[in-house]
Amino acid sequence: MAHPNTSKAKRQEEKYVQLIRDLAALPQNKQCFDCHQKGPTYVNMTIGSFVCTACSGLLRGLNPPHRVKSINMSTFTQDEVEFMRNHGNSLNKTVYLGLYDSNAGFSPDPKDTERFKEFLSQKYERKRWYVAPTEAVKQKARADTNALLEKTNNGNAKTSTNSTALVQTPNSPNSTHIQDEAHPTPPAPSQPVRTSFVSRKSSQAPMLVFDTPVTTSSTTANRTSPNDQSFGSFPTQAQNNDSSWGAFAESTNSKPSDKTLTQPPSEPVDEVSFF
Amino acid sequence: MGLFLSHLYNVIASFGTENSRILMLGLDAAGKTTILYKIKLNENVQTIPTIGFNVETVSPAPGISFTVWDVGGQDKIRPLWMHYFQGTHGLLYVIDSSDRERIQEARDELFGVINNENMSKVPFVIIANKSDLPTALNCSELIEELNLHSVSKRRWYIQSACAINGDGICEAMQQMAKMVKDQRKYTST
Repeated sequence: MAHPNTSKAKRQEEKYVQLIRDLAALPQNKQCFDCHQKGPTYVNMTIGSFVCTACSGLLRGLNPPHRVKSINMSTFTQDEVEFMRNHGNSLNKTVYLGLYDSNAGFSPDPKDTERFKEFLSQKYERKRWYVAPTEAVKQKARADTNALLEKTNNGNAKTSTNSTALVQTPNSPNSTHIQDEAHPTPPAPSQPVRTSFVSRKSSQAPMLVFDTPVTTSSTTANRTSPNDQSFGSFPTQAQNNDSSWGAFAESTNSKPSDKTLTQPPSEPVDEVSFF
Repeated sequence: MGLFLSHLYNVIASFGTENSRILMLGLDAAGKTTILYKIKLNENVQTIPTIGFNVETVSPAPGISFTVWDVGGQDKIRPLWMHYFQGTHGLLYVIDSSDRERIQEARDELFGVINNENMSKVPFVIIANKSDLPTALNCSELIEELNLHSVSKRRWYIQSACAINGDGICEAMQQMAKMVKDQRKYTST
């Protein structure tokens, strides 16, 4: 099994998964894109939406199948993270449900699997409500996502939920940061040659602004460290055979759809003891 | 009388493959769980991505009885596959033959499995699933892509299949039964 086992690669992997988690925690991605169940656990890599486990199963049965990845059980590449950052549920809503009217169109209950499948087929295979996204819409979605991400990364301990706070908070630290960065630079340009250098530097400032709160702010560190720990605990748990094994078997006993799995009475139990 | 019947049963059972342990692996969304329940129930069940495993005792043809272990294939849980290797009589490796982008990944995982010491003598059948899709690779292309020519000193077979309509599944299982039986005969003598 070809897996990068070097610690550096692992850290990089963890970073990307954490980015996906951050994206999944954004307000617009908090619900399954298809059935609106809270807490998406899968990402749809074909269109870039966040979905629940049940819908991920349906999506991979579409024709052509969508590619779904579990947030917890997969590794992501930088391109994939970038893709998810640039898409997300709000953009996809304007694309795949662009012409959709929940009152007029049919909105079947996700529990009614057959009709819900039909709904997904209309949505993705026939693209009944599809509107091709313009560049402006894409850029707006990207900007929104970045603003929200930045806001969460700025990590003010009080989790402000109202929308005015969402708009306000990212702006105020930004402006002060820009001034901090910009202040040392104005005295410098005395020659025309230097101005080009300075202007280049000032054009980099937004990047620095974006980075600084993430890396230096102690509040951010405080905020993310519990996440890191909880995440870090996962691989060790997965590697620890004995302890993970019980959980593994236990979780799967409840997993398969009850009606289909006619549990063979004693046989598998015997087999399990083999481990 | 009871003794006689049980003796008779043993004789009959010895003709078949007495409950072989079959491991079914493959990348995520290859169709392992769908195949398992297609064999078991002859139905198309709506599956969700497997976390952990499913296990069923199936008899795809008269005289064949398999305990099939279907283990989830998402990339972070692939390292757990190795815990199922010991005592396995046959490997079913399911490939989404329409997923051209991940053929290399599938090949790497396959060779990781068959080169494991616990799997070194286990015959394997590759099920090239989703052969009904327009982008599907055929068997000879897959043999090339998977570099199966490089596999030596072991029995393998590749079967093009479609789990949804059941094409090729029976053939794959029969081939598996044959190979497992041969292998067992070979190892016992």
